[in-house]
Amino acid sequence: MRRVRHSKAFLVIAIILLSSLSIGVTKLRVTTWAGAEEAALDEEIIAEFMRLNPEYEVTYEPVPGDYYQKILTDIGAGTPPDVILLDAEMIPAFVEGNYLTDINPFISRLNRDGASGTNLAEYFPVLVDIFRSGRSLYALPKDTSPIGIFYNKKVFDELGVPYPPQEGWTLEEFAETARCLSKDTDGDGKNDVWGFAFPSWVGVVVPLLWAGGGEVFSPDFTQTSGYLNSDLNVKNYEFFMDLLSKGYAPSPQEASSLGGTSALFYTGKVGMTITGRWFNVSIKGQIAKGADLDVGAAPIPYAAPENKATVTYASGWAVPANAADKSGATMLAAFLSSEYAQKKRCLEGGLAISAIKEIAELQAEQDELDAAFIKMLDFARVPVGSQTKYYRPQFEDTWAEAFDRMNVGGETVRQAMDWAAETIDKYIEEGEN
Amino acid sequence: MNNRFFSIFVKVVIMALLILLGLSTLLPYILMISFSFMAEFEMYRLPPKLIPDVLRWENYVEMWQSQPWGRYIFNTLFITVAVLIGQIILIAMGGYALSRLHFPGRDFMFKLFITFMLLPGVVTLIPGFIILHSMNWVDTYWAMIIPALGNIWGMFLMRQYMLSLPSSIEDAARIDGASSWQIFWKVIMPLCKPVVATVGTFTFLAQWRSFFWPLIVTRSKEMRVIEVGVAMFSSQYVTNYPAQMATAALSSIPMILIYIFAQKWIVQGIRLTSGYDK
Repeated sequence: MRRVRHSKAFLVIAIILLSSLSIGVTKLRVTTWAGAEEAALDEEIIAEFMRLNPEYEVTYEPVPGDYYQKILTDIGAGTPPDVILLDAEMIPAFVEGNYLTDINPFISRLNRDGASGTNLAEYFPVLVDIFRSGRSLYALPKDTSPIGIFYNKKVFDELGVPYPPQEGWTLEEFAETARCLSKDTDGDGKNDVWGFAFPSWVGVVVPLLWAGGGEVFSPDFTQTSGYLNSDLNVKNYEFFMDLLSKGYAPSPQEASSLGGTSALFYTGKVGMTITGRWFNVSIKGQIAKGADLDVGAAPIPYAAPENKATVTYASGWAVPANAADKSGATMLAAFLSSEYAQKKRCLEGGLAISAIKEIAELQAEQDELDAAFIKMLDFARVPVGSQTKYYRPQFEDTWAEAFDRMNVGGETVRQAMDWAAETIDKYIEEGEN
Repeated sequence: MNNRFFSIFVKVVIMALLILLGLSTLLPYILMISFSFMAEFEMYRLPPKLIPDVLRWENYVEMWQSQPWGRYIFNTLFITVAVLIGQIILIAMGGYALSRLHFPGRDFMFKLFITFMLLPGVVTLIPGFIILHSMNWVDTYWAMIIPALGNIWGMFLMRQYMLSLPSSIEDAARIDGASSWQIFWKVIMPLCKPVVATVGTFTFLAQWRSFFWPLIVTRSKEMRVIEVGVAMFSSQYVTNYPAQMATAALSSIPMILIYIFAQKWIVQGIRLTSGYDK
């Protein structure tokens, strides 16, 4: 009888202890757009966070499509995730809508306590700058992907063309390389092997214009007239359009009918493609599956060495303004950017270039292509879209239409760029977003 | 003789055109199957090859191991069947009330329902989500089943069909002492089998393919459905096309089976909604 009473008392105490433990646990939610492969790595990172911080229970919510609609619905309904992943280009609009927490004060406090990922000096400065606005900081960089040139070494070797120099090259050298790589193999009078895939996407056009010595916005981001349509930019883009008309690149219509840029690159139909480091994930995947590929990387061409530039794209972990536990959420955001997370995602997973310098150096040692892209971070600039809300979608959409005007509508580069600058300025004037 | 020759010639041409059209409709499906057995770089070959050099079954293995597909299939099946049953019951009763019962405001209510059909989904997205959240239904089966039970299009179809049934059947049942419920359940419903089958087929197909709403109202992996799983093969960095094709090929099997067995009802549904049911 006594034993029964004792065991009952023990049970009650155990229940009380267990319930007090569960009361002490803070629940956090983190949302990303990760696919299956990346989600598996993220889950390991979060498991490590919970192991180190047992007072937190984290729910991981990968959202594979309609990402922004999903998180805006959550924020609008007053049930925001505690940590969200944001493209740099979304930061200005989110800041203006007062959707984000300035995590700077929390980061300073957590850094004093030695929390992982909170020492901003560990990161490449350009990546921290992407998420800064004045003295405020709105996210911590997850990783990064600069824009550069991938070249198919086999195409170069077959035609005896020297590889692009790693330290940089001029527009004239680029044009000469593109000419040497272009070939009419079936004798129908039209090239069917091309030097490069034509850069029409705004994400690569902007760094190409920078490297030509131009700018696309005024320094205070209040106008594009006189910048986007400056003589320098017009001349620079005319240079690429001229290479297109000479047949050194397939027209966008041709490229699309042949399966797109990736298809042309993998089949050796184009020698070079200008894109982000993210293409390396696909290249590595294809090589692992048995593709007979040998690829190199080089910086985008410049008008003069002093114009050497590119852009580096990034997404960052942010904390919504109405998150319940901002300090805890910032600690989780920082851990998701920490050395441990960067090692998992970039070194083991090879998904992008690490935002932390030390890890990026290790990456450079194990992958030649990554080494080339990491060097580009020395002269990479922050994306325009991280600085002004008028980039996404207005600038992006307007440029796409301007390109159609040149490519299909028969307008000159000057006419299309004048139209684009005037249109974007109108958006800015009217404050439309 | 000439006329006969001409009519055979016309038939052959029409048949050839129809076969060509049929093949062009099937081509994306054939490509999907073919690509599901290739590596990505093999998909890009020029000229393209329909038959893979090597059948890469590992794409299916990789796909299956990457996510909890058993759970996704169970969720999709459970939600689809629950919505199917619930929706059929509700829209049949709604259609009956709006077509055969007489009560004040009936026609106004019907017009109101039709007006609701004009509302774009995005307008009700956040209010709908807030309601579900206040009921603690986010990330539960309820969130995916209950809001899907209302199908104005189905109710409209049901009403129109019931209106076409002669009222003498109902009168005869009433003279025999049947109640409204008995008339609905034992007299009208058996006559409505064709329209029930049509609505049921369309509901099944729509639910099986639904992506956006399950994505918005679920949070955990355990509550995800097949279509959301398919999208997981596409990430910021790369899209795993072969795995995506393998999943799409497998997930389309129930829809193909449904189409084969319920072709008659699908065609009837198209005729009913197009007003060509003469």
